Amino acid sequence: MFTLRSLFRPTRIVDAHCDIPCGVYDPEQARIEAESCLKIIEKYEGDDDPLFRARCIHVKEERAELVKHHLDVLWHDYFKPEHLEKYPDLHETFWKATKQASKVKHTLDAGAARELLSMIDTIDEMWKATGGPEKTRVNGRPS
Amino acid sequence: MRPVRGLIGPLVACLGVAVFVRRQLDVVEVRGQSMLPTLHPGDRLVAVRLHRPPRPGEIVIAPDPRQRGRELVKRVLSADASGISLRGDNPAGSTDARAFGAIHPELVAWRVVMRYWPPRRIGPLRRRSPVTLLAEGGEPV
Repeated sequence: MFTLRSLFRPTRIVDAHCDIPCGVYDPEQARIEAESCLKIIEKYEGDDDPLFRARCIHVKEERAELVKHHLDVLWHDYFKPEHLEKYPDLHETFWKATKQASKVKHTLDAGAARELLSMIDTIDEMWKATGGPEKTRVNGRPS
Repeated sequence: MRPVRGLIGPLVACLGVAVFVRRQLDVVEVRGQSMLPTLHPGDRLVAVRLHRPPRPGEIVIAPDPRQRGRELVKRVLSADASGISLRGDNPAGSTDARAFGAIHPELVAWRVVMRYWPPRRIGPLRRRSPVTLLAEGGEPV
């Protein structure tokens, strides 16, 4: 409805924006899903039941998708421009790791899954070296 | 005909002034809480177009580097070779340069100069010194 008030109401909205991030990040989340992928591939190889195998493929693809999601969140929410100065290959590392997660999603290659784990470990090192355990976990990473 | 013809000049002049003013001045409404306590959600502000790089301490409007079409209102924390770093006055509740890095100065085209709504808080929005900003926790995290 047209009112005098709406006449003076700006149509241009500017955002005093906040993502309200929970601030909790840990590459372990991606690693656990990636370990699931590896274990599922091994179980797939050791069983001839077509139904079981079909389930393995389904679950593995789901887990691999979660790996990509968790890596993405770390990449664009946890890591900051100043971390890039310390690790100039940060983008390259994440790009390769998420691509590797795609590979694990669409293949049944245990080697690819192991490679993904080692890539996540590299990211884990970066997270640790930038103070991740102290800054983003409530009481550090549980040992 | 004569009185009508006499009006054309002033009408064109008025239109010209209106177009000029519209390009240089705008009104905006604030959404979100990252500029508390300075700006409250729902505050309405007058913005003027910038014809120079923004200066530290000024409240500006800039495009969100992460979401096309969205505009942010933030304070300039620093302006240097890397670009313009923006910060919310409420750093604990603000997504700003800490998350998306510096912005190219030319993208920061508007400066906020005053609030005209709500009536009880009408007034100019002054520049604050970066020293004060840093003292209040404005340093990069």
